[in-house]
Amino acid sequence: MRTTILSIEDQPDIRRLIRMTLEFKGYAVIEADDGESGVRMARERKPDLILMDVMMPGMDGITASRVLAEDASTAHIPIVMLSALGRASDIDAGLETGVRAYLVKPFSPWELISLVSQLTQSQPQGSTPSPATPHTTE
Amino acid sequence: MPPRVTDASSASHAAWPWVVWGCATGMGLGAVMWRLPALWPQAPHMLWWAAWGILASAPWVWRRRHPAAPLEAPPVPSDLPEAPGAVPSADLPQVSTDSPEVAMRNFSEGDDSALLAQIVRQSSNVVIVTSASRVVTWVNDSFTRLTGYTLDEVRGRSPAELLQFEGSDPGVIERMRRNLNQGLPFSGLILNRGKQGQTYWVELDIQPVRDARGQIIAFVSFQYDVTARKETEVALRESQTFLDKAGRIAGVGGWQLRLPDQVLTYSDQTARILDLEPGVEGSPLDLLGMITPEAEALLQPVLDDLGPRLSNWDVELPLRTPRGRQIWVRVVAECEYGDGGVTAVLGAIQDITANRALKAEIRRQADLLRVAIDTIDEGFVMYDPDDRLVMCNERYRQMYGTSADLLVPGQRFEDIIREGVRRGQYKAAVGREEDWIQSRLRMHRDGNCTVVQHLDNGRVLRILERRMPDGHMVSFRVDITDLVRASEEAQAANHAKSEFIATISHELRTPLQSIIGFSQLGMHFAADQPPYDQMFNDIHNGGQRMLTLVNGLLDASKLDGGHHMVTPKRQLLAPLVSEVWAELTTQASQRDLRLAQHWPEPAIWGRVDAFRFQQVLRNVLANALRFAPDHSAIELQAETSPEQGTRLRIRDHGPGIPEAELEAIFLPFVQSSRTRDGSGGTGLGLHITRKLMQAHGGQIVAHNDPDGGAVMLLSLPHEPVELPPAAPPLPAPAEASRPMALTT
Repeated sequence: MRTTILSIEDQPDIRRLIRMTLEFKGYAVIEADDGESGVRMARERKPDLILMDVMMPGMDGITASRVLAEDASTAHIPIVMLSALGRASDIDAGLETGVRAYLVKPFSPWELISLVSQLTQSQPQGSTPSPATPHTTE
Repeated sequence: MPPRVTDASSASHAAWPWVVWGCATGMGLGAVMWRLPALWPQAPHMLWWAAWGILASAPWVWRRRHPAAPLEAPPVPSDLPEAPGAVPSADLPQVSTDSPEVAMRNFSEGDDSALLAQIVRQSSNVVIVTSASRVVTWVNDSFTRLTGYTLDEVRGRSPAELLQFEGSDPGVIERMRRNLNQGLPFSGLILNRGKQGQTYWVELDIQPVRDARGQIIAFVSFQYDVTARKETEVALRESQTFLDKAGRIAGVGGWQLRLPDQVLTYSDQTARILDLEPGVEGSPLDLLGMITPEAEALLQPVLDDLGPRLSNWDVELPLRTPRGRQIWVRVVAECEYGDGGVTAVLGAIQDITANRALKAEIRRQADLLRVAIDTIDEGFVMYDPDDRLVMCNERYRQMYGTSADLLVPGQRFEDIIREGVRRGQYKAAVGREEDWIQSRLRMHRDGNCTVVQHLDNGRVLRILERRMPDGHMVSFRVDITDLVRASEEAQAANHAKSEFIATISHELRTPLQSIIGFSQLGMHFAADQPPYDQMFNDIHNGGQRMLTLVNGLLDASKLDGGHHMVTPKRQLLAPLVSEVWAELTTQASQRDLRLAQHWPEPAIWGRVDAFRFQQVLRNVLANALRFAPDHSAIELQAETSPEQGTRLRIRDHGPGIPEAELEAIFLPFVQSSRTRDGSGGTGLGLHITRKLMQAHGGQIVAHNDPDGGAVMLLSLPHEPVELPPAAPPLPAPAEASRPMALTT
């Protein structure tokens, strides 16, 4: 069975980028466009990993992550926060909710693949991934 | 006023005509002549006249000294002691020892020669009889008592030789000699010397005694001892001189107004002060002309207050003297009372014109100072050594409006601030009142503090307190409200700018995610389709440049805002360079560019923030790459010394930097003319680079190599080698602080 990734992201283009990147590597991608629906979907589908945007209308990523961490049925699911907020204080606030990683936008698709692969403990399906390119934010 | 010194001798002189008359009209003969046998027949007459002269003059003298005493014959002392060596009474006709009344009765009944002889012998006046050649032939008992010489000792001697006259007025002595030589009478005041050397003053009257033919046969000299009077006179004169001098020195004059006759007398000093003629008795009317209208106004309340009861008064008055001088005097007066009430007013007068002028000047200076202190825009306050308020200016009262009513002289500092605290005047004291008061008191006592105080009215004051050497405390309050607000506004503005830049850069990151992410996917998928792979490549490069700009803006904003951006750690520098070069190798090898590194031994250490220092190196090396011609070397020369510090010199062989731009390239958004070819650069890289080097305590400057090419010189503080690298710095730790991919 394919590894399922839940992408919670309000920006359609970013959602599409994530879907293309991960599907290209063989992951199954399901999507939600805000915090509430993301939490609901996580409870219903029990994905292997959640990619969580921070700044979203309605329930934001920080709140959603906290809700999921406190829910016994979802607490085990690793969460990666994706955010344009790159200040140390922003990162600390994100990590405090118990997420496994915090990735500052803009990130490289290869970086995302590498991180997802590492956290799902499974080889990406499909073709061999390109090497991750570090320092893309510089 | 000084008592009038009336010449007492002149008063005594007035008696002498009586004596002279008494003697002269006695045919020039006295009973004393009995010692001269030739004159014996005349003796009773001489005695008579001499005695008459004494009797006639003595009561007069008595009366002068005791004006109230009735004009009666003086009591004749009946118990005169016999002077030692006195003339034996046997030498004179025996007189009865009857009472004076009996003697006088006998005398008036013609039995007189013995009585006269006794009068002369026992008279309290000194009687000397000399021969025509002026040697002593007889003296009475008074002479012996006064001089100590007995008749035997002086008989045949000259009075002048005997009694000397040293100390007498030489003019008087000369007049006496001349008169006597001419056979004329003489009277005057002479200083004599007694047997024991004692001196005494005598009123002297000498009369020639002539025989029937008019020949001088003797001189009779009557003397009165006036030593006591003379001494009193001298003492009085000295006292008078002393008082006058003291008055003159002190500028104090005396005056007296006798009320019954309205006579005004005054001392010389009073005369000097008021331009009056000295030594003249005046009238109170003399003073009326001096009273100015101002003085009248000042005097009236005093007089009104005195009313009918004239008591002591003390008043300062402006006067105009007869010579037109405007003066200020202080007049002090006391009343003297007699049977009929006030008999005189006496007092002192002092010229206080200079004193008043000085006081006025001091007052003027003080007023000037006060006005100056009131005029300045700072609050001013002064406390005495006991911490009581001496003065404060109006500005100070305005500043402390809440406790302005407490700011009165004499108020204690502690009481003022305690009440101020109670009224909530000091913002910092709210909620910790006693702590604040104690802390404020400590600072105040310390006497050398500069603090900022926020008040309840929104004002912010800078307080400067300084203790003066005499213990007084002066303090200024400077209103820095506007300054503080401007500073706060500037900080707020700066903060807003940083927030704005942070927000913008974050907002830009989201679209960049699409640009960079999709272009990277595109590059991958179109790798084999040359037109498309280049398109995606260009999109990706554009996205990267924009991201660099966004990150640079963030960095610059943080660095300009004074944010703490570096956390230096001790580490080797060469590995940091190698890592950065490794990132650039692909790009460099495409153009056959090498990095020629020259590192000395031992290895160079530095205290740097690896991530930020590599940011610097990346920027500098990327610049060098951009301008280096193909197939050339970029040279890196490193050196260090405790004196020179650590230097990294990075040189390319490119066209160099225009001299005019060597410094400008470090300014934000300034690009070198050589980069305006669209080859990239945000205009922030070198600005951030310099800020980061400065944050490390170092610097970066640019210049051109004499042999061509640009040189970037990075300097850092020297870091000694000795310290063993306990934990060799890993090149990676910087990664941990990077918010790229964080895993728990």
